[in-house]
Amino acid sequence: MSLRDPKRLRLTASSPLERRALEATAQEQPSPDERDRMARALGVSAAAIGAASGAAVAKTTVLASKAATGASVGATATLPWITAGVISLALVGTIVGTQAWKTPVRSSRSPAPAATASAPKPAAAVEPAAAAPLAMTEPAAPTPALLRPELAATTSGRRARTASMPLDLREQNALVDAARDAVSLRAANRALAVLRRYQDKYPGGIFRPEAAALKIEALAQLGRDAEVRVLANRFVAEYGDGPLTERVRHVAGLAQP
Amino acid sequence: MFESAMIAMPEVPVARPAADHARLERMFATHHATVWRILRRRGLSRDAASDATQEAFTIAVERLHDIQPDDERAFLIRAALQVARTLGRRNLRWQLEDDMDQRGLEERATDQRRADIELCDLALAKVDPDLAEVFVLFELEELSSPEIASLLEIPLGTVASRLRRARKEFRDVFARIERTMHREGRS
Repeated sequence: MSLRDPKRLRLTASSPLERRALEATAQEQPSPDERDRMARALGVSAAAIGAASGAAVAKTTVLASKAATGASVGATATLPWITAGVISLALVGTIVGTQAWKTPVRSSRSPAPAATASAPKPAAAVEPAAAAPLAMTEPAAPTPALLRPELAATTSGRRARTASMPLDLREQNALVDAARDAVSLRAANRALAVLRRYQDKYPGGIFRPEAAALKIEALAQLGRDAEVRVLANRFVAEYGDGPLTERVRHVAGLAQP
Repeated sequence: MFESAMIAMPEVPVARPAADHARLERMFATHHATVWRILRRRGLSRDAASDATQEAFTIAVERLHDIQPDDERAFLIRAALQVARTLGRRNLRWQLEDDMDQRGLEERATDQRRADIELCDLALAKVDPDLAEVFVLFELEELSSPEIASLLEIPLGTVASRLRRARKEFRDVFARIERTMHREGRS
């Protein structure tokens, strides 16, 4: 560590949960299956993978020993291979634009060859909000369980997840993320609609500051400057200094302190 | 869940000079988990992070002779961030949550660990992406500030500033989450 660097939050976390969350995240590893698939696709041998595994566990142990207490320290997690939809390597390769690659690009997961040119475009992943208006009652895209807690609650993962995270928190997160995505696409009206839904459903929501900042940004995109200034001043007064406030000030054209 | 749009290529051995292959193996052995983790923190599902990790290594393979031995990790991280930026963050959290729903019953410790990671990711998702990038590299991957400055090609002071703001934002969001969970007796 550099002499200039502060101590890591993992060592100075303000709560056991914060420390545990940071520790677990810092130690997350691909499962052996995931690791093996990546290696195979790159033509890396099993022996090298074994060495990797040992090195990773050793690093994890060293890091864990630095933590004060209570972190969830463990060996590499062995998790089942999950068959969810993912972005294709070929698509990524096209977007990144490194077309001169000599090494064949392979999916780590796909069992069968497919033609690159006729690859189905993952419309929802590439142009989700712009493609279709977001329904306020149900998302237009195939609905992920995150946005439908009633579905999530029926899955086998329910018991463990609800033991630590309220489902409405997940929905709050989904709504704010949807609003942020809409703002980033300059779909201001859609963002405002999502934020209204958030506000109506969660008037004292945990992501109220983020939602308020996004609303200001969406209004600014619509040129509703008078409302922007009023809300921005209210935001500054309510939440004080911080990165979000900086952004709000910037968007509203308020002077930075 | 979104339709899988995987593009498969036959898994044939790639012909490389032995020295290059050995170097790739060593780089993979040493850095694949770091690259994968950084991609996960950008909101990619486990599967998408695996694919993007391959992507980053594929970029490295193409540039192998340009990469200095002491710059391998930095190169791979830069490549990973490039891939992640290309993918964008939209919908990727949806995939992440889908994954969580599809898993089977697991050991309690693993469940807890995944829940903890999800909490961290939830808070991180509310941090401005530029700030979160520095936060992840410093707090989770334990790079030093000078390393981050060099890697992201930003001044050291900017690293410090972004880190300070990222911490404030992260802790603020995390504290709110924690208060909510505490109120509901879930922490």
